[in-house]
Amino acid sequence: MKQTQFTRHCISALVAATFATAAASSFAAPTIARLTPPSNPANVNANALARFLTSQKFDLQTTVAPSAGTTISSVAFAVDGVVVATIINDGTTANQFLGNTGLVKTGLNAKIPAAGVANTAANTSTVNTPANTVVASVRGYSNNTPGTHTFTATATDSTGATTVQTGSFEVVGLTLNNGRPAKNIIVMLGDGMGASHRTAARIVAKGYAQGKAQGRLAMDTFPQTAMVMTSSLNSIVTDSAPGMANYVTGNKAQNNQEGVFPDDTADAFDNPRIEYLSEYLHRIKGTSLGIVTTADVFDATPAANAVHTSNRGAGTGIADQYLDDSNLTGLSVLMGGGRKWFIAKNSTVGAANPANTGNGSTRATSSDYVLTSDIQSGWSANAGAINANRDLIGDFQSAGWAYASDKTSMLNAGTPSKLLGLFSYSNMNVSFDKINGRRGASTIVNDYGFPDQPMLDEMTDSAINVLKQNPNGFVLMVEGASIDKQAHLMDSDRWVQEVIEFDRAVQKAKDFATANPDTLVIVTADHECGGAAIIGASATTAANLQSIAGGATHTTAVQRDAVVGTYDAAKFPTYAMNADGYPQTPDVDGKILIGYGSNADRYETWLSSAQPTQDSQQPFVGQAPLNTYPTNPNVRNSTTGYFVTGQISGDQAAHTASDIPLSAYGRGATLFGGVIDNTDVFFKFGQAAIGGVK
Amino acid sequence: MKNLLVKGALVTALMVSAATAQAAVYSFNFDGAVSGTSANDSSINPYSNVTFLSAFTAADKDADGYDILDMYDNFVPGFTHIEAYSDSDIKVVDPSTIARGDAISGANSLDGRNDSIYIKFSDAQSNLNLSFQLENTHFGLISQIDFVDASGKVINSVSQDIMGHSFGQLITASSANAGIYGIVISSGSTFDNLSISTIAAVPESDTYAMLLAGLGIMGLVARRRG
Repeated sequence: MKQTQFTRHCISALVAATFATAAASSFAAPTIARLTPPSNPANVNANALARFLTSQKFDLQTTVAPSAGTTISSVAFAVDGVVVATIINDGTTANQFLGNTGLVKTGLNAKIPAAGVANTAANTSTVNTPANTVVASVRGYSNNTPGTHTFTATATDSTGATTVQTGSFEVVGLTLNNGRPAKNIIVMLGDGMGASHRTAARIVAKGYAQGKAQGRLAMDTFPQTAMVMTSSLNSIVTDSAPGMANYVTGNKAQNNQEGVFPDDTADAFDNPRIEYLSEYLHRIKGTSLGIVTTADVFDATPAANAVHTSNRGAGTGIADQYLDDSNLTGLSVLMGGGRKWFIAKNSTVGAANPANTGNGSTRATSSDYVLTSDIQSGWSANAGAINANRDLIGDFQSAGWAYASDKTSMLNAGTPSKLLGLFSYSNMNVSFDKINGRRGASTIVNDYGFPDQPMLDEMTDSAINVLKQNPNGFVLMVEGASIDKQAHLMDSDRWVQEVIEFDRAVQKAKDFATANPDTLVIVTADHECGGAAIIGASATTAANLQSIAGGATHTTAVQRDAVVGTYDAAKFPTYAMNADGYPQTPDVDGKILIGYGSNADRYETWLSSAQPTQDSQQPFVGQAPLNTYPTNPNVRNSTTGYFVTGQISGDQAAHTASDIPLSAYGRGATLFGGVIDNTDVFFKFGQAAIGGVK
Repeated sequence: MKNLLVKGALVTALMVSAATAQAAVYSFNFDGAVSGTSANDSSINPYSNVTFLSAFTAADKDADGYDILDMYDNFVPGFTHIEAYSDSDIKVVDPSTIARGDAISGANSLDGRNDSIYIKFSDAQSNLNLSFQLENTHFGLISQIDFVDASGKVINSVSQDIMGHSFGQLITASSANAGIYGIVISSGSTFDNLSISTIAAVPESDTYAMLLAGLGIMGLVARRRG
């Protein structure tokens, strides 16, 4: 009897399933492949991923794929059930834009997220983009009501079938009347600077005795400390673009992207935007923005304060947007390397180094942009133009900027209202080589053609002197960029000195905040680089290291087992510091030794390298004398050092997912403590700058 | 009879008058002295019972004198109050000199860019209207105006969205409470033509009923006497 009943139930279920399947195929609805801002309603306990400050602007966007044989007739966006915009497809194949809304039908990526993962943050599963797929956008949306909000995209196809996808975002309320606001915010960002990088610099610059540091780095003296989780939108290991952007948008960016959420179009400058801290505070308080870096200014960290793109490598457009959208960011100081993006492709400007041919320009139409009109409308952004022959330095000057090409002209610039400083073609020389150039001990800076480059503390001083003229305050980001770049190259002596140079800039920021207590300064990193660790110190003399390197035997027995002193054998390395603030030499007896947890193959001598490793970003890297430098750590010291097998592929060490330390000083410093997400920092900035702090 | 009617009319007039009177008016245009002068200078602020201070939020104390905070050292809702910085020195400023446009009237405005303005009374106020004009810019976010008691506890709070406000926008807030010893205006802007007055009380329906009843009784008495 029971068996008969069971059989009957099975037949019923089968019939029901058949009808359901038939119904589904008769009325196939569109698929919403992506909903932006990303959220995670699949797990009711999950945090809403997207968070914004009150009135902070961002874009709503969805990618909709029609079922076979249909087209999308309309897409509507609603927040908390109230329609924000309804976009009607005009039936043509042309992209259409009306006011701050857009419907993109061409130029989509070959693949889009697979159905079923549309709302999750990391869409790892993709499908070929179906015909007639559209990307619909509402630009420059904002919400002033604190709390969690639902937003809904409703897609209707040509048969009238609809699909609704719902996400969520949070507007984070500030505590008003909390105290005095921070007028100025200074972000000191040591790129790739983990705890080991800080410790190494302290050991070298200050020394230890009887177990105690004999001095403190400037960043050590900051009273508040937090540990920061650095993950990006799509990986536990971030690159510098999200690593910086997450601090200043409050939201997770995808690797290689800055100031935007990911999308499904090929255009690198049309992604859904998120308003930067600089833009937000400029809009509501009239602040200025300063960006100072030792890198090429197009690099991810500096650009992730002012430029919105999904391609951190789009140098021409990135450099252009600094100026073209300076009305949005209040950009008033831009200093670093990167002149190659500012020189017209076909100009007759001569190379800085007469030995080089060409003018150093790497401007290209392929990395330039024109914004779609919905972005222009929603963000009051300038359109831009595809132009490899733009004289961008000239355009900056025409817009009222003073231009400094070297340290001397920077110091002579006085206090203009706006200051552009481009001190090399791409990344500036590192402090190791700049200081040796100033000491007359090396000609590396001459090889690059830029013998008069400023140090980071000098640039920071100049930047603050310009920015402090704004009575409404400023946001300043100062990056010690080559801590990361030299850690990638596992050139320990160079990155240790980069941290020392960076710390001297930190001291400048601290001095300003001490004199101007309405200033908040944080020292942090975007991520750790290299898995660097201080493994101990040399158990032998520098002379002996030289002797071994010059000898015939380069084995682990000779250069590792007999050299690397751990525990007691490490003792306390002692360095002599010159009056210029840098070690007299990195190669002291018993020098500190650095190991790497995410190392590529390399040869190790434990001695400093007279030449830096080649920098592929330099336009003349293929020409003498730069092409005489070691090409990568895999060949550097190959005739003098022992081989260290890497744990990762490639030629360079990689970033790690380790938490990094953050130090805070000044007004609002007490907001920082505990273990926090990098996006949390943005909301602490908001509280400090708007709601105030005691 | 005539005498009685006159008396009745007088009483009625007095009652209506009392209901609509402006009990106190404090008015500031901040133009009595040069930019940079303290807002508490008598040339700016002639009212001895009013002081301009800079406010911050502080935790209430428990019975042992310790701050009432949660386990993360954050404020506990309902257990906070407003205090003033000991170094408060709110000033007037010519906003055109700080990239904030011209003053709404005269030369100066009250500089609240970097201070939550705490207008503190030495005596209790009741039923207050506050109004002021924002500067000639579009800067701003959310304005929160708190009315506080003698201990700095917030009696009531009024929030207004002033994001992208119009130039010189008029902001108003009211508190129909007694025992008001201070008003706090959130920071971020300069303010001009600040005025504090007593709410013009509109007689409620039962008040009108009583008035009419009184007049009716007087009319009845007069008629009987007549």
